[in-house]
Amino acid sequence: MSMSSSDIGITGVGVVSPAGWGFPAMLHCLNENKPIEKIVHKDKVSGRNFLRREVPAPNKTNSLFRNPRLRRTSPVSRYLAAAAFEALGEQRLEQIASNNLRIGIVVSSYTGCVNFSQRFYQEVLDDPLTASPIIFPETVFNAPSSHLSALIGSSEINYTLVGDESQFLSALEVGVNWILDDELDAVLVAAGEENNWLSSDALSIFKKTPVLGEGACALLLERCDNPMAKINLITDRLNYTSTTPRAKTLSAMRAQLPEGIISDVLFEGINEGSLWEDFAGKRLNVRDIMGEGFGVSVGWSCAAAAGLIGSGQFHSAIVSGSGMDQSCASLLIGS
Amino acid sequence: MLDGRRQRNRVVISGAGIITPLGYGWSKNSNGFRAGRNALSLVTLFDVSRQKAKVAGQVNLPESLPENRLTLRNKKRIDRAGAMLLLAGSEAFHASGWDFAKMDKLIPICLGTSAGSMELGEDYYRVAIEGTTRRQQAERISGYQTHRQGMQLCEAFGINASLTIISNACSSGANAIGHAFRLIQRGHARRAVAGGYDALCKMVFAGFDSLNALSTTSPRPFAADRDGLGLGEGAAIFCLERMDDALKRGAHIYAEIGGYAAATDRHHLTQPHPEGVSAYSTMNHSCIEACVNPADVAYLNSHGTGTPLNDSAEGRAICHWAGNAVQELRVSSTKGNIGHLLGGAGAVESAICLMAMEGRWIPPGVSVANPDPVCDFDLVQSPREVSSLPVTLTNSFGFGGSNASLVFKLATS
Repeated sequence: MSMSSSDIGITGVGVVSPAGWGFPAMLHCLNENKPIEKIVHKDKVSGRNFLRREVPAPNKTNSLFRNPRLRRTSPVSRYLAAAAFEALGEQRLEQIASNNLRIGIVVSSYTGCVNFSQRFYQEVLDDPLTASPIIFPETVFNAPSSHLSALIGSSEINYTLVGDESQFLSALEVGVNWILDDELDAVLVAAGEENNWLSSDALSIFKKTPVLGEGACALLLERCDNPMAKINLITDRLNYTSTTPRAKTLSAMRAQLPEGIISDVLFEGINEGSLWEDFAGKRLNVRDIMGEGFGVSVGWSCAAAAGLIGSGQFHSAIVSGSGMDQSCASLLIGS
Repeated sequence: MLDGRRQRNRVVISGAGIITPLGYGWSKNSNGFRAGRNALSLVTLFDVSRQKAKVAGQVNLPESLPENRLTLRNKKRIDRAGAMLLLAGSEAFHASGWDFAKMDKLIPICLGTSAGSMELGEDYYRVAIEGTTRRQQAERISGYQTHRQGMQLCEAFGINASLTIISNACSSGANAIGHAFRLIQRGHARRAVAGGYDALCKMVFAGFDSLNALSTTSPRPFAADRDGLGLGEGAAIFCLERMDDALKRGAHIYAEIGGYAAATDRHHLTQPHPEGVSAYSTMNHSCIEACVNPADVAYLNSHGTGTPLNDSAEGRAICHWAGNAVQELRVSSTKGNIGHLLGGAGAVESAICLMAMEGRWIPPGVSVANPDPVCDFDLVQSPREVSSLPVTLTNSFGFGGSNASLVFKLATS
């Protein structure tokens, strides 16, 4: 179902990316249009090399990471936690702590906690009797979102949605509807992915010499008169099927956007062919700068779009959320 | 633009399909649950010789899949979990009388799963780590993605759908039904398909075994000496639509979905709050939405895993929530009979509630000689017929503290 609204806006943004910890670091890199340096990483378990753009170590010890819930987690949970705290800010965290903000969480994920999943399964192959009970719970898709609820102190509804890049836009739609339906005051919509040779191996079947990216993004949605950016339209999420070619599905997605719409900036998706060849505004592609972030790539694009609109650089943006192999949707946001 | 804020449509289930270790189909399962049949057996799907636990609820898949539109090539790609999804879907769609060819709008399909097609992911990993061939790796990695199974369901039956895959561990199936319910109730959609599924796989079995969460004897929820759960597999799919639409077309209505609530237990990643505060919250709020009191709930299908921590926390929450009505409240856990279906549990247990309402019986759990003292409620352990079951409730609680409750009511216009 498509969603159109002028009531709900993005009021907070948090990002962890190969550009660094924090939204400004990513925005700076995008403005500079300079790709982050890629490195060859050797995986300890498989001994394989793969190309990646990695999240730098935090500059200083972040007290957030001393929380017991994050002690044994995979990287993606830490990325998500940092992004969520940045998006919420102190004021909202205090409101949640004092039960003055009903906030739900929707996390979208593509590859999940792949590092721990790989590690645990290898232990099972080696000998199931000695497989670690500490690692297994962290392999479950909703482990990161569960940690988020615990860390921010919210007992409200929490969904983990699994799907390709386009999933993030569906997650946004779920969040918007929860607020429109008056179920909640605010929703944190987040995505996170982590680098792993297995993801690189899988991607290399379909793409030559892939360069992975990793990190997280979190968007805070609320009813607000003066948000960073307003969510104007999320199109239907359409599936690529064996009977409907990708190009036709993408065209159908674009056809849902209002005819003659003028947007200042386009965040491009994956393998879109000539879909946007007539687009006259500025084009940005976060993947070129950050690497292939799977589910988080569209999240980064949405965050960047909100930031650029919020700072007055642009009035409106389209995020084309064409997923790798499942479905596509797009987002129209504006001032 | 649909404005859901002012809309509160009544939502009914007008199609249902199920496959569990008890068999394929509504009547086979209905007979099995009514009699309290036990379908756990020694695991034969994969090697468990180095595991502490040895039993699970395994599905005997039919030799062929129902007639569908998939090409031969795509049919060959269907894995175990995908097959169960297709089977349950086929029965539900047939029962609903829906003609997807005449539906021009996108139909939301909300599916809950925890492991999806982990079996293919495991295969992919083993081949990748060997590094000697990449043959069929593209099919494995594509098939591993849960969205692909949902897509197979759509393509098999010609559904123009918008897919949502909720992976909230063991409450996924209940969340998926609840999410679809909300979409219709609030006017975002007129109809939806919802359900849950999961297939047994080595990694998840070993995971629960590593946590000492699996029973090494026999799963016996709510027994004082319970020692863990048994895993299972299966699927249940439902067709949901607005009550007025269903009545207008003269559809068979299984039940009305009266209420849904979801909450997050922040106590621990794998352990519930000892008092079951979130469990209490979801039971309470789902009943408030359904406009029923605990005394109105004629049967409660508990999450009842059979682990020491779950059953005591849930038991306390049930007693707290039911209050003075607790002694009359009939409760059972069907997980001792078929195992814990993880992402499929909430959906299959919803189906059990509907079967019970339709047949006017209570599904017994496995008989326990010495129930946990927390069981102030009427723990149903043997087959029982009743005059009517106007309201039922099912609980689903998952890893990460994901809790959900659904209330079903006999439909009255």
